Formats: sequence, structure tokens, C-alpha cells
Amino acid sequence: MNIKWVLTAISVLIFVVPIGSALIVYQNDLAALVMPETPEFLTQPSPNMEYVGYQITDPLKPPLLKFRIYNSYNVNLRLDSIGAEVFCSDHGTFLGFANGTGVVNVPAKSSEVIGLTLTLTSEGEAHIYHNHLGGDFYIDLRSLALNVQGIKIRYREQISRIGPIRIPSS
Amino acid sequence: MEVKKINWPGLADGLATLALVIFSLSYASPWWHLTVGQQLGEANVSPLNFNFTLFGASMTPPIAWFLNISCQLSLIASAVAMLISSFASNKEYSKNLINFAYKKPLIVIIIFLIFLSIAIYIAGTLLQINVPLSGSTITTLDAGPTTIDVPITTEFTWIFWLAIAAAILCIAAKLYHKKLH
Repeated sequence: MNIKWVLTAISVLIFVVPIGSALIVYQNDLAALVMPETPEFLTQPSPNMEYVGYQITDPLKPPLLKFRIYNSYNVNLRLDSIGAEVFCSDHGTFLGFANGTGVVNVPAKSSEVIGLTLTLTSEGEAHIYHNHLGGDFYIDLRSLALNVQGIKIRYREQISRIGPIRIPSS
Repeated sequence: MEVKKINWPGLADGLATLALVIFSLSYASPWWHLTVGQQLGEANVSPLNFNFTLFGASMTPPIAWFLNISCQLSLIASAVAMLISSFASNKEYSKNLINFAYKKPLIVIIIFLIFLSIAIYIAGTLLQINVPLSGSTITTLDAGPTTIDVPITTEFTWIFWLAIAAAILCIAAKLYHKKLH
């Protein structure tokens, strides 16, 4: 047999056999051949957060807000930073800022409790002192931003009525 | 065997192409690499090996595996044919082997660049994700109640330049073969 034809046949078979096999294997669902399975997270790409409670370690300092953050992905996530602006839910007064206490690792398919430290402005302190001391109050978090391994996630909507938080009067 | 009759560019090409296949398969070395964030997503793209993971989930379309097999066989056949023809350049069949071998790395590179360009174009137009051919960018996505800034970094690796070198050596081998005869 002429070697030229043998080599031509090899050239054709090299492409036809794998592609032909692909078409035979996926003959009932050709779309699946070219489209990867869409992971669930693509429809809900942001991590979920849930308010857990608050902790007062020093009566002279603002409370530490605790949130549970859920990692629905198959990889461990490193939450490098988290921050938000804090407003009084009842009066809409700007109170200050809430920031994460450090880097938090959230294992794959799991959750972790994170702490947010409140840093109140002098106006915020005065507002709480005059309006909410000794009673329950609620806060809103606005412009919440998370930095997860270089990816910055900004929430357009506020997280409303976090609480109740009670600042002891003494 | 006369040393003068050896097709040296062909020999170099055969070895380069075999090295290309070995590096791409044994060490899963991509020709083009994409990183999302800090190890949140990664695409290792080459005609010989392709995988894409995002948040730990595989996003590799099944067709990639079949195309990889095709390109692997093509480059292995090209390397073997080029090596045989280089040592047997005075044989009658060496011209057929050269003609069989010399275009394949070039075709694989062209197919790779076409597929890469199409994938980047689709990502930009349909998914609104700007991916540079080489470099870094931050793409902003609207996802439900959030806006997500995603840093994306891409680069051609040295394996890609080895493939380019192999393709150039193929052309050189073809020209050198003509010179020998």
C-alpha cells in the first residue's frame, strides 16, 4: 500500500475517531458535550450571612456583633475582610462602622461564626446614649463589603433590623 | 548513517514536540493559564490537557477531553514521523513522513488560538466577563443583591512558546529536507 495513503488515513483517523466517539457517547444529549455541568453556586454566587447575636465584653465598649457565614462551595474560603456602615434602624441615624475582627477561614460546605466590631462615631455614641441606653435597639448594615481571597463582594441592599441589642445603662 | 544526511531541524523538532507532549501530560503544564481571585478559580488550557475549576467545581466541557486526545495523538504521530524522517532523510518515504508531520504542530497551535479567542469572545459578549488574552483585569458582575469584583489574571506559559518553537522547527525541517534533495 502506498505510504502516502496510509499517512493520510492516520491523519484522518486521529481526528475522526475521538470526535466520532464523542458524538456517539453523547448522541442523546449533544448540548452536554459542549456545556459543563452548571454548579449550583452560579445561581447563588454570594455567601449567605445570618445574624447570631451580640457579645459585650467591656461595658465601656460597643458590642461585638456575631454572624454565621455559610460556605456552600467545595473549597475552603478565606474571608480576608468584612466591613459595613451601621445605621440605627428606628431613626436612620448613622452610628459608625462595623468591621471584621480578622481573617476567618470557612471550611468547604460548612459555616463559621465571625465577629464584627462596632466603631461608633461621637454622634453615634450620643444617639445611643440619648435614645437607646438600657433598652433594645436595632441596627441596619449598609454598604456591606466582603473580601474573599481577592474577590470583593458588595451588597447593594442593606441588612435590616439586626438585633435586638441592649446597651446596659450602668 | 551519514551525519550530513540527518535532517537536524527535523530531529530538533521531533524532540521538541515529544518534550511538549511529555510536559503537557506528565506535569499537566498548560499553554495558557487563568487565575480567578486568589486560587478561587483556575483554568489550565492547552490542546493536550484542559481543566477549569471554579470554587472547587469542575467546569470542563466533556468535548475538551476528546479534542485533547485528538491533539495528543496528532502531536505524537508528528514527532515520531519527524524523527524517523530525520534519520532516514535519504529514503524515498522520508518526504511523505515530512509532509505528514510538518503541518500538525502548526495546525494544533492555530486551532488552540482560535478556540481560545472564541472562548474569550463568548465570555465577554454573553457572560459579560472580560478576560484578557494575557494580563490582569478586574471584571464586575451583578449577582442578585450583590456586585462582585473579580480579579482575573491570564498568561501564556513557556510551554506555549515551546510549541511555537516546535512549529517553526517543523517548517525549517521541511525546507531543510528540500535542501538535502
